[in-house]
Formats: sequence, C-alpha cells, structure tokens
Amino acid sequence: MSDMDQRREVWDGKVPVSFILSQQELQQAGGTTIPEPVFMLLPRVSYFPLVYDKLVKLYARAVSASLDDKIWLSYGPSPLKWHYPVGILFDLFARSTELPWEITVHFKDYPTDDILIYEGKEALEGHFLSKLKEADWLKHGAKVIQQFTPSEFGKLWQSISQHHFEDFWSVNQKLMLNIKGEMEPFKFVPFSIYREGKRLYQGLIASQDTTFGDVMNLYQKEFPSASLADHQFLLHGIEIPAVAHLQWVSEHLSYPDNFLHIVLTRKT
Amino acid sequence: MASSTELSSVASPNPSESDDKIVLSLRAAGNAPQLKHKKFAVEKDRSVAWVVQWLCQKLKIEEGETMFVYVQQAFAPPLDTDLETLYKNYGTGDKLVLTYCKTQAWG
Repeated sequence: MSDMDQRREVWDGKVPVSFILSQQELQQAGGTTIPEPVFMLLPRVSYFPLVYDKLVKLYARAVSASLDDKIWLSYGPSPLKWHYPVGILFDLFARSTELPWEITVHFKDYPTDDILIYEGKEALEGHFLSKLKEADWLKHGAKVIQQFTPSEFGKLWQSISQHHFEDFWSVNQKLMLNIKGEMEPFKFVPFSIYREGKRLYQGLIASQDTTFGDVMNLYQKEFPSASLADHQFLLHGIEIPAVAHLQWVSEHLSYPDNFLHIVLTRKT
Repeated sequence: MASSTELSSVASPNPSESDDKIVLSLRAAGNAPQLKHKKFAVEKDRSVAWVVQWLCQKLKIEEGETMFVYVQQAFAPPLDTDLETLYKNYGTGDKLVLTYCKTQAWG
C-alpha cells in the first residue's frame, strides 16, 4: 500500500451516527411532534460543528430555540467537546456501543463547565489552524508553517470543511518535510492521549529512532500507578504495533491537525 | 471569577515553585496593555480560559472584547488546556511564557 493509499484510508474512515433531539427539551417546549432522528456517516477526522447548521435547521424550531440558544451535543450524560475530532469522541465513548452511535442534540442549558463556547465556524477554523501551528512548532520549530501564505491556510481549512483529500494533502505534505523540502525526522512528534474522565495528556517525544511503544512507555512513566495491562492505545480505532516507527506513524496516521490523537481505553 | 488575590505576584527574579504552582510570565503584544508585574505563581490546574478571564479583569478589558493568549509566539492553545500541560511541554527554564494581545496575532 502506497503512502497516499494509507493516508486515504485514514481520511475515509467514517462512523455511523444517529442524531436525536433532546426529549426533555422537546417536552419543556410543549412540542407535540417528535422529530425524526437523522442518520449521518461522519468522517472520523472531521468535526461535529461542520454539521451543526444542518442540525439547527432540522431541530431548532421544535424546541423554539432562539439565536441565543447555542447547539450542543451529548452522548449519554457526557457533553461532547466540539473541538475534538469525531474519531476521538467515538473511540472514547462509543466503541462498545450498538451502532449507529446515538447522539442527543440540545439547545438549552449549555454546559459551559464541560465544553468551550462555540461562536461559529470561525471558532473551529481558528482552533484547527492553531493546532496545526502547534504541531509544526513541535515538528519544525514552526519554521515550515510560518512560510505558509493566507491562501494555503485557506485551502487547508476549506479541505477540512469540504472533506477534500487531495486539496488537503496538496498543502499538508509540506508539513511532512523540513524547511528545505527534505525528509528529516521531526524534532518532536505531536501527540495527545485521551482517557475518559481524565485530563488530556501531552508529552515531548523525539521521532529519531523512536517507536509507538515509546509513546506508551512515556505515558506509563508519567503515570506509574496506572495499570495498563488491561488497556489499549487506540489510534483511529485500531491498536498500533509497539514496534511501529513513530516517524512513520506520525506522517501517515496523524489527524489533519498533524496530531496523533490516541485514546487509551479498557480492552473489551 | 478570578480575583487578583488568587495570583500571587512574584517580585523576585527567581521565584520558588511550590509543588502545585507554576510560574507564568505574561508578556503583552500589539496594543495590549502592559502589566505592572509580569511574573505570577499560578495553580497548575488552571486553564488558559482562566488566564484570559484574569487578564481581562486585571487590564479592565471592555465587555465584548477578549484577549488572545499565545505559546512560543506561535500558537493559541485550546482554552481548556491546563497550565501544567503547557508548562511541561512548552515551558522555558523555570517558567511558562505566555504572550497576550487583543487581536489575533500568530494564530
């Protein structure tokens, strides 16, 4: 499988979601007709806010939501952080769930303690581009991304918004190379580890001669009391072999923001 | 809401670090107002959002305006990132330098 084939596989990964309107809010609004659930196949590497407009169109009226009532999503009792890619949230919450993944749409009582305020698509764009800059700071001291033109940033964001693989990689491939356009091990590999109910973990790991197993060891070292024998480190829903070269994993299995978003979860 | 008593201003050049606090060095950029004292010992569990709130209060930023906070003058971390994580990954020496400005600068 070629490089781009591998990346295409990651890009094409999707999860089946069923959105339903909060029954509680519907009742409170005195709604009589229960709106139908909406089914969508969402890319793992995409973000929920990209379908907010659609959901607002479908459901806002049924609960008499005003412009001040901001949409938010939950799974069971957990509000879903809109700035996390769909795939992370799925791996964290829904791996053992019956599919489609049933997500509740809300308009009232925005849980500001649990999720960030969402002011609109610019907020998501800003977040995405910031993560990209952070990733390049780790990989290249930000030297490569600092050369990008506004048009290149625009193309990157558009490609996420429209989920367009070729457009995305036409710019993103520059971030796989150093400032001279050559292949060179990244200074540090951008990664984060997510665990339900725990704070996100991020650490510094060089890519030279390191493996995915070294990331797992770094985590164990940081949390010596964590018993990881019955846990697994998932990336895009799959276990990555500990022997996999971290540079390769970073170049091929990162999310569009260039981070390896790894979910640590109990083995099922 | 953050109160100014929650951040102990650190006057000495080599502030000692207690286990649950990290040292922030806050620098103004663009037309953001300067702080009188720039170094603070902050609880490591605080988030970037908390720092933004504190800055807006301290610098008497008007309603409707906000502050953008940058790390390494390169990126704006998500507002829910905790300071300990930022310090461990992006701290320099004994402190975490954060740059703030009223408009988007680097991200």
